[in-house]
Amino acid sequence: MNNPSELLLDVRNLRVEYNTSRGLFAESRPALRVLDNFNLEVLKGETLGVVGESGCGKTSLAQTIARFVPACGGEIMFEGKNVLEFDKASMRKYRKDMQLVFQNPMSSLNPRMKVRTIVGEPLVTHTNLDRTARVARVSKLLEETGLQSDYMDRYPNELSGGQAQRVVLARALALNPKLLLLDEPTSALDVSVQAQILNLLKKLQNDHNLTYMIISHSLTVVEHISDRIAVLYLGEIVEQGPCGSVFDKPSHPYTQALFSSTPIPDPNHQRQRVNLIGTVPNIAKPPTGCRFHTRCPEAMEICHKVKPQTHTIADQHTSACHLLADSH
Amino acid sequence: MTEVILSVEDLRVSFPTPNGELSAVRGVSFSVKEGQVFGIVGESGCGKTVTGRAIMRLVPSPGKITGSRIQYRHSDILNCAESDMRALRGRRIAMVFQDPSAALNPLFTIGAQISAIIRQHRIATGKAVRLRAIDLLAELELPSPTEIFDSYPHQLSGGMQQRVMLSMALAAEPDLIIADEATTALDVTIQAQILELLSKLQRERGLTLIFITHDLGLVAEICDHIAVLYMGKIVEEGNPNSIFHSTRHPYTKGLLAALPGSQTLGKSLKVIPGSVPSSTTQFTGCSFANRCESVMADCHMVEPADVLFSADHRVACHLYSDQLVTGPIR
Repeated sequence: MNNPSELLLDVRNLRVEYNTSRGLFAESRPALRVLDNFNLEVLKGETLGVVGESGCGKTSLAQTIARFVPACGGEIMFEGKNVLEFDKASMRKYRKDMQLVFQNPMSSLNPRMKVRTIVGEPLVTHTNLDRTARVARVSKLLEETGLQSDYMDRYPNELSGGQAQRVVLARALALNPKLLLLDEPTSALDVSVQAQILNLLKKLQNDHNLTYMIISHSLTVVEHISDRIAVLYLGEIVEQGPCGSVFDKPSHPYTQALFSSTPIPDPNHQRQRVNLIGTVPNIAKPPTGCRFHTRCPEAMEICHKVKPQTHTIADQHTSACHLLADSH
Repeated sequence: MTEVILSVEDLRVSFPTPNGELSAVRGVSFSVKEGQVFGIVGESGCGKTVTGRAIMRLVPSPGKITGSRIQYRHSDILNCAESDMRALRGRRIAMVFQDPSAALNPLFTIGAQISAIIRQHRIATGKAVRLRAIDLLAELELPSPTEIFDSYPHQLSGGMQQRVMLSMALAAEPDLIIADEATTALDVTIQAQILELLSKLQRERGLTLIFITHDLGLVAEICDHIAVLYMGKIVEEGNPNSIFHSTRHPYTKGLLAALPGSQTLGKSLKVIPGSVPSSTTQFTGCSFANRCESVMADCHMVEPADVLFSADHRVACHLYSDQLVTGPIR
């Protein structure tokens, strides 16, 4: 980490809604509010892990930061400037500084393009490099991501899943970005390939001073790679803090349930499983009070009515739960 | 000793392709005892799904099962008539697939789909069919089963759909269930609920379960016996403790070392060198030889025989060939 306190990305009071009304004359339906009053900070040089189950808004968050999805309110400050107010020229610059990596590497690559064209494309769009310089840069990028330069003339269907993810990373690095938004970067990969990609991500981060926001449903992946972790439930952060602190002392009942549900590859592991009741409620009708109270094994009277405050558990480690109200 | 309910001997399945014969399963032998939770674990393309489907005789065309024997109780699965197989499928052996939304028919209600199985196998007739189906849904802890009975698959969440799939698998009261990545598409907290339910059903009904997965954590958690597959072969097989704590095969060791977790913090993960060869590759020796760190001259030439470490721990690796008795687990 460069300077641990320096902010790279600061998401403030972000609101993201999806319009669910269909057709011109159809009855208008209330918008689906995926993120509301959402705050998140990403420090320069760190890896922030964002975990949560399907539908918790983690992908929407990444896509809004990348401005693929419009925000309805709030601010996304990147290096002190509000991304949501960027004009075309600033947006162009921002797109160089920030890159997205998606879950399925195969579907992120155009099947009709050769690897050299795929990785070289951002260079055509954003730089004045001539053909020879571009080829040299592509070859360098492939080498950095662990592919020999003879992969340049392959098509995506000639790559394995792990190789395809390396190509995606090479393309993402082409313009020397500052921030990489990684949306489930290893979910589609086998364990042994996942290990290769995780090692590669660490190496690239060291070599290029990259900042990562890594979105994953896999706690073991997040624990391995992240400095800090944010746990999302129904569009809200229920707990966040330094990885070690959160994993050692998960204090929100949802975090505890999530951790205890993750299978541990050790048959002698004694677990105290926190079983949750039911499934994630529909985000169109979020529960009142604490959004987790419908499934929380420790729900109290107050949880149904009042939204919990954020309590500090340890240094930088916060959790939003009524159970913590007395002790802190 | 408990009875062997299913035995698979030298199972070989291959698919003809323009690039030559694709051998998905290359000689797999194992036996499953009554009441056991038998885990088959391996990476994509290792043949775990094809093995599961071969037991149901559901290998998709043009796949061929050659030179093998699959015995379920007293039935010879590979040589019985299709009509006998139909009586067996669903009734005695049932299968649950990975993606419930793809396995359910979107055009029929949940009730219609469960009822079809109950009628087909004459578990109940007339009005009793509906009651039986609703009972099943209730047993799978689905909220308001009568409403679910009349719903369509798209109205249910992934976890509920998988519960419906399980109720369909249980509809004809089979004694062997093959679950192929049955919880992979689900969130962890939902997965935990389904696993809890599966083990409850397994205890109460005395079910035998073959659990096919890529998740080493899952097999450690729920299986009594684990087979590790690589390139269509069982490289190591044993009880969870022997697989996870007295790991012998270099591939199993590699897989376990590649898992991220609390013990790998700040370190880089250990990686198995190279990548999985294409399934059309033909091997003379050990299929793992070109990626193995302990490779010896023999490995490229001779196929390793099974080495027995204990009554229920066997490894197919030359490293141990001069140490112990060889032979299959009985």
